[in-house]
Amino acid sequence: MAKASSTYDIIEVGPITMPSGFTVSDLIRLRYTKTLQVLPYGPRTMSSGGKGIDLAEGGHADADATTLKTSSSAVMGQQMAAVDDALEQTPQQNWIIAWIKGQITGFSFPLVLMAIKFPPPSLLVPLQLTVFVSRASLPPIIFLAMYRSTPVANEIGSLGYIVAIIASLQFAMQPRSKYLQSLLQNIIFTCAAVPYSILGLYCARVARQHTQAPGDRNRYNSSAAAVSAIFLFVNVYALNVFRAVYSPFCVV
Amino acid sequence: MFLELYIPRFALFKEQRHPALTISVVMWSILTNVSFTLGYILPDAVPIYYLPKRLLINYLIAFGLATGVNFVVLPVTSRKIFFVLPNSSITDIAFL
Repeated sequence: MAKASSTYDIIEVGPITMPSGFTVSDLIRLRYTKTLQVLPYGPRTMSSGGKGIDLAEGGHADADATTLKTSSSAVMGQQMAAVDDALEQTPQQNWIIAWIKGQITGFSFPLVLMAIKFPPPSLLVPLQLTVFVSRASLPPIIFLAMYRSTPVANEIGSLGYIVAIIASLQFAMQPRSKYLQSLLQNIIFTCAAVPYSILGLYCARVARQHTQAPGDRNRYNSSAAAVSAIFLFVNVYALNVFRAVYSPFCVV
Repeated sequence: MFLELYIPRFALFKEQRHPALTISVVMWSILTNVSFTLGYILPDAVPIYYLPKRLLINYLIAFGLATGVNFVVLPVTSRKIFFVLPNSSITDIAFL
C-alpha cells in the first residue's frame, strides 16, 4: 500500500467499480485530500475482497492497468473500512457541547474589533427602536395582562378575546392624526353596528316566540337561527359592497 | 357564511383601487358575526340588548387601551413622519 501510493501519487478513478454508497463528491475529496471521510450512507459491499489486499501488500510498482485498478480499489476499501472503525469507536458527543464548540470555533475576533472601533452611538437607540416597532402589540398585551385579574375577568366575562382582537386591529403605531381619524371612523361604525344587531336579535326572538310552544324550554329554535343567519348574510354582503365602492374608507 | 365572506372580497371586486382591508368594516363584521352566532340562543330572561351592549363595552375598552398606548408610548405626529422620515434612516427614530 505504501509502495503503491508512493509510486502513483494520483489515483486514477475512472473505470473503478465503486462500492455502493460512494458518491462523486467522495471521489473528489479523495482526489484532493487523500483522506477519505465518507458518511455511512448504508450497507457497503467491498468490491475487491481479499485479492486486492494481497496485491497491495505484495507491492506492484510495475503493474499493468488491470492490477492498478484492483489495487486502487483495494486501497479505497481499506480506507473506508478504517473510517468505519473510527466511526464506531468515536463516542457519541453531547449536542450541547458540540454547539458550544461550534460557537467557539465560529467566533470571529475581527467582528469584536469592529464593534470596539465603531460602537453604537447610544444604547438607548436600539431600545427605542424596539419599542417603536413593537408599539402596535402593546394594547392586546396590556389587556391580556389585565384579564388575568379576577375582577376584570368577572366584569368582562368570556368575550375578552374581542378586546384583544379590536385592540390589535386599532393599530396603535399610527401617527397621531391618522390614528384619530381611524379611531373616529371605527367608533362610528361600531355604534352603527350595535342597533343593527339589536334589530336582528329582536327579530330572531320574535320568530322564536311565534314558533315555539309556551312550555318549551329548548334554547335552540330553527326559525330564530334562520332569521339571524339572514341578517348576518345580508349584513356581510352589504358591507363588502360598501367597502368596494367607497374606497376612501380603506384604512392602512 | 364563509362563502359570503369570500365572494365579494376576492371574486367580484378584483378591480378595487386600494386592495387593503377596511378596518372599520372588519370591526362591524366581527360585531355582527358574534351577535348573530351567539345571541339567538339566549333565553327570554336575558334582555335583547345584553350582548350588543357587552360587545360595545369591550370595543370601547380596546379603543381606550389603544388610544392610551398611542398617546403615551413614544408619541409620533404625522408632521414628524412627513418631514423627518423621508430624509433619514430608520435609526433616526430618536429624533422623532
